[in-house]
This record gives sequence, structure tokens and C-alpha cells, in this order.
Amino acid sequence: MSLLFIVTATIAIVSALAVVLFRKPIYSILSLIICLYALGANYILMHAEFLAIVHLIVYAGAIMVLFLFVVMLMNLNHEGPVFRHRFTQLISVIIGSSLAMVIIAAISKTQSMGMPTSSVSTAQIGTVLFTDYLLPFELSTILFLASVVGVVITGKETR
Amino acid sequence: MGSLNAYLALSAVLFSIGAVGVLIRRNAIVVLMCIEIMLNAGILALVAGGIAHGQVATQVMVLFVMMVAAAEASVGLAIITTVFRRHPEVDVDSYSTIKW
Repeated sequence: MSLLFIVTATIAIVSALAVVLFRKPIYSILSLIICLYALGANYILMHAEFLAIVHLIVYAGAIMVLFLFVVMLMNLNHEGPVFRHRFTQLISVIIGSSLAMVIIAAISKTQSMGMPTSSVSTAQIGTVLFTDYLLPFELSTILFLASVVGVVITGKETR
Repeated sequence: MGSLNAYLALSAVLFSIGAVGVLIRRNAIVVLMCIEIMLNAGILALVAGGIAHGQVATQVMVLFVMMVAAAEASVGLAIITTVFRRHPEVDVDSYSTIKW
């Protein structure tokens, strides 16, 4: 395991914990952006450069800005308790850690594979996307149209 | 760079953190963000597995997953802002009254 993987994985885990533990939603959003950048660095370490760039543009560039706009414009800070009841917290942490332990134990039983050292070129991805997966690609535009119409209808001011 | 199992273990840890966040947080926006963390953990496992097996089609599938995630986030935020306009509260428990 290389040093770069350990550094980026640690940054991703710590910032994901910060998303859960920060009391103000704006800090959670900013640490989620750090987490997404660390994941993008992981994609570059795996030699998936195209996916890393798409990940940064779509997630850190579009979705997170959407979250930031909603929190900043709507003033969604609320005064009540941030976390749930103590007992629920205890149960949730037990459930989450046992889930992680079970998955990691299952992974450690399997035989590990090394990652390839050469990357798949963007031209190859584009060829596959526009030949084998052309119909799903066209259908995704319908999905986007539906979501845009849904957002406009849902967000419209009704009196 | 790490082996496949290291990436899968990182994905498992991130997924569990997101699941714990969904269970313990009250703010609806933060719950949506924890769901995004879980989704990203799934994407990481998919990318790592596909690249270790040398499949080009995996990267196309991840592209589709990201498209669906973008649509999901926009619709979820629109629903949250609409409900927030009706009664100004972001606690997910207070949304239990909208089923009537």
C-alpha cells in the first residue's frame, strides 16, 4: 500500500466523520467537499483520470453548490437538538461499526487483486458509451428532463 | 497504489459512516448528505472492482450512477425546500405529519 493511498483514505474518512459530527450544516457541506476531493484523488491513484474529473465536476462542482445554495438562501439552521437521543446514538454506532467489521472481515477472506498500472483512455470510454450504451445514454436525458420538470413544479410558489 | 481489497475496505468504512449519520442526525439536509456519502462509497467499490478486472464498461456505468445521483439530489433538495416553506422546520421527525 502506498503512502498516497493512506493519506487520501485518511482524509476521506476523517472528513466523512466531520460531516456527521459538525453541528452546523454549512460546515458539514464544506467537509463533504473535502471528502469528495479525497475520493477523486483515489480515482486518480486507480488510473481512472476521466472518472476523477467527472466526479469533481459533477459532485464538488454541481451537487455541492446546490446544497450550499439551499442552506445559505433558505437559512436552514434550526435550534433544537442536532443529534438524536443518547440511546439511539449508541445503537446506531454499534450497528454501523458492526456493519463495517462484517464487510471488512468478508473482504479479508477473499484473494486480493493488484490494480493495473496503465489507464483506460477517454476515447475507449467514449466508444463504449456511444455504441453499446447509447440507448441508456439517451434515456438518461429523459430522466434529467423529468427531474428538471419535477423540481420546477415542486418548488413553484403555490398559494 | 493500494490493492483492490484496500479500496473495498475504504468503501466499507465510508458506507458505515454514512449509515450512522443517517441514523443519528436530525437535520434533513445533513441526512441527504450522509446518503451522498453512502452512494459515493458504492461508486468507489464499483470503480475499484471494474478497474481491477480491466472492464471499460464499468466506467460508463459509474457515469450513469453519477447522473442519477445528480437528479436525485436536485429533486430531494426541492422537496426539502417546499416542505420547509410550509412549516419552517428541518427536523426529519417533524416531517412525519406530511403523510396526512
